[in-house]
Amino acid sequence: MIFRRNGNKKIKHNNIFYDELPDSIDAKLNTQTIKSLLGDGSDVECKTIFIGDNRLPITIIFIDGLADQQLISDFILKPLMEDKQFKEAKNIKKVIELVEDGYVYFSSQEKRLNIKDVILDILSGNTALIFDIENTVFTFDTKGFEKRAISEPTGENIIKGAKDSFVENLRTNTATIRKKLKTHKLMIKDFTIGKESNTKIAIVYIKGIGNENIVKILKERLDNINIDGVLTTGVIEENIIDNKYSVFPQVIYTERPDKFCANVIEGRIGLIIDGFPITYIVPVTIGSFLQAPEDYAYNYFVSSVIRFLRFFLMFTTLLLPGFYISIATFHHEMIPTQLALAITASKEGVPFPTFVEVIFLQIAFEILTEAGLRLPQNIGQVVSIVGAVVIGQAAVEANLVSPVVLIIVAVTAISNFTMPNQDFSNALRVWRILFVLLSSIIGLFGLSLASIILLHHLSNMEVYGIPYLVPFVGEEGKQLQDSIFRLPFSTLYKRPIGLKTINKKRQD
Amino acid sequence: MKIQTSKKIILLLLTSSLLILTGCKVAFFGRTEMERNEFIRVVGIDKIDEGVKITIVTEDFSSQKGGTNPQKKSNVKTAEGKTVFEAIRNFWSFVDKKPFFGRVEYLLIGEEAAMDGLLKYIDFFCRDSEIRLNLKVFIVSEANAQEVIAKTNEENSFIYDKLRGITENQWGNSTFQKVDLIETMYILDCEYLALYLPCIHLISPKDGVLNNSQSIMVKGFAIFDGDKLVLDKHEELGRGINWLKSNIQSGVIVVKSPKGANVSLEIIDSNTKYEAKIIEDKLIITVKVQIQSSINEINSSEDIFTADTIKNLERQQGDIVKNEITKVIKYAQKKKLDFIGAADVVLHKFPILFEDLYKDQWEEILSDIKFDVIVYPNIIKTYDIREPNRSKIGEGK
Repeated sequence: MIFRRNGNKKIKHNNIFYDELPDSIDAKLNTQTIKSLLGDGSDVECKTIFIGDNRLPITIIFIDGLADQQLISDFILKPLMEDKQFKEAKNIKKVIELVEDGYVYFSSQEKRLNIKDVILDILSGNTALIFDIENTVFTFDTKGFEKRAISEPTGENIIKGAKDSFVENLRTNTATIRKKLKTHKLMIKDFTIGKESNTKIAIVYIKGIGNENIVKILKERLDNINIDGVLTTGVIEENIIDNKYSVFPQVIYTERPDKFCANVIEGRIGLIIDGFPITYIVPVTIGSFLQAPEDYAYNYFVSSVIRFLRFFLMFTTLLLPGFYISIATFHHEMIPTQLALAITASKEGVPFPTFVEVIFLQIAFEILTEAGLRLPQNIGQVVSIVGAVVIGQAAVEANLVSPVVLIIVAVTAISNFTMPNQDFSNALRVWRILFVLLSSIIGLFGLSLASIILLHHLSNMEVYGIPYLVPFVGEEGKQLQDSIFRLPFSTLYKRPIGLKTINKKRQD
Repeated sequence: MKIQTSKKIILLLLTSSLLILTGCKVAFFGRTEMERNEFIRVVGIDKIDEGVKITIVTEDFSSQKGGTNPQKKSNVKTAEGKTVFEAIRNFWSFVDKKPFFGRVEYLLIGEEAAMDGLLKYIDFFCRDSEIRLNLKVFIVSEANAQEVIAKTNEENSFIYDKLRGITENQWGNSTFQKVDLIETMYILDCEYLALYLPCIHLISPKDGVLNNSQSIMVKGFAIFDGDKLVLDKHEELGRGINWLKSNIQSGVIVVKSPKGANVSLEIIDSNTKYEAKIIEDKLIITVKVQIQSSINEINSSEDIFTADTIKNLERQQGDIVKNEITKVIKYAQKKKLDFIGAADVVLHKFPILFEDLYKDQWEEILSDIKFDVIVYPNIIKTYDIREPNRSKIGEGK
């Protein structure tokens, strides 16, 4: 069977790491066991200290680089060594009691009864305090590795709007969201995924607004992920989408907290992955990929014109090369005579048929785009200049392509760049190939056929139970205030119907 | 679910194939690069002894290198054949590009061919899928089409441009009206209507052009009896027909001031309405023409902006227009050719009567119809309302 449904897979526990550790009940919580599990890593710091007059032994373990040593010294070691209560402690039991009572001045401490938790805590940057005699372990949240400061977004710059962006640290990101959404209903639920990477993932939604069913489906999908490491966002994305064989994106990624929060308020569910400055939003439909954060910052009339232009450009980037091939090779009579004469003049001496010209230039353009992306920024600029000169002027002068085709491909490419979402833009690039090929074979019939296939494909897609073509299909057709145009906020008093939010109204 | 989707896709492809593969030869093998086509803009048709001679005027841009600085150029080519189609296919034998008739905008028919009968010469153009039915048809007066094309198509001034200019600017005088091929077909199909087509005249340098080449002028209509040209001079009927067809957009009417000086009136709007009635079994058609005009020129210094004078000018204007219309009606009645569209008026007013009584003997009935022409002239604008120069110091009074 070529297509295997996800549902048939045997569901495993989300954290395979756990399965490889010894059973928690049998394993002893002592230094030897913990050290043996952590291995001989040079960054594993393990030190036994003796406290009080009775020189009671306690082992402290942490990962150098992950834990903040200043915190350990000031708030763990110092109280243990200098506090009068600890000095006078007669036995380890008394020390444990004192730690439990908070004599170590640390707000975030946990008494761990399970060796798996201990190991995970240490690997996350916590410090473990091990009492070998009593088989007891306390872990302290001393995470203190280097992290990037909140900076301006690099991929989603806007003029009129917030300038902060997500960073690689999950907690910083959740704090950023909390800062923007000061509501007790904001739910942040953590997961750990990745057998080896143990990457933390947080589901974010607002209780009473976000659809609990979608949260449940999302959790199930995250639970089903069986992978060794989450070192790229694609691992998560591929596993939480409905249609794995579609190039069209089914989640929105954003590095902008304001966009993230706006979607969460609207009733969508957010996903933050530790280690990535990118967050995901589900469920999303086609309309969302044509909305940019700035649409809501500018005057609604201006935004509406820009939004409409964006829709027009979406069709331009998808259809223009195919349309040009069709009319230039199959349906000349559709072109006004003077334009046809100009095209004819420009094609004089070009040895290739129109569709070969278009395909050749498209490929050349894709190569240049790819080269520009892979090279360092400064060299990338050189590539674009060289590309413009080579592809543009030289190719025309060498009669390899006609200037009109060059303009067509350039307009197509520039239209593609206007898409607010890169994944969506890529999907259009891929589908454009089909449009070009079918147009090359049977002209406008081919273009129509490709359009029908695309429409069929999109009509069949659902994202978390919501048709992908929302808001242009079904009941959602009534909610076109924020689709092709962006009407004033006073008209956007309801949340999108398709999201099936609990609280359906934005404004009372 | 997947199976259903697959079935849907297969069904969709099959349905699409049915649509696409209809006439698949054209769909799959119809690919032609545009530059391999000869763009034909004007076609001339002439009668020759053994058939027909077709003259084509092509338009092209040629450039030295990759489309830079393209130069416009035009070629004239002729081919002969027993039929129009054969003559056109004969072009295939010697032209370097495929003759493409989809861009023909003007069809010039030589006088001799028009007299021979239009149908056999335009049938190909009506039938061929490549040709647009909105191309304009002209009759070449006192010459053949090839001669007109050859004498007027120059290196820097193509006959196509001249025809386009003339037809686009015809509203200035309203002495003719462009007639599409589809309208020609409609009139020819209509048993009670007579065809009228605009006339092209070859004019010599002394008639207005300063260089040595000859030019063309379109003026008046050629009237047809069935599909055959009626040999008469009808240049002067041009504006009269346009009054009756309500096709007047603008034009100049020269009237006289009280002291006999010329005053030019510009027609700025007009509207013609018909009323058909039967009184004592006699058909009466009233033609009501409303004209709005302005005074654009006064060839004297007299003050004509008085109510009486304006009224006098309007009366003169009305008489001139009435005379133009009456001439056309009389000509139509004399020739028993309904190119003025009287039958349509009666048909719309008395459809049953027309079908039962008039239709079969319309030619006879037309000559008996009483036409009442009523003109409502109205000078509404005088542009510069000031009195003419020197009118205050008495000159001209």
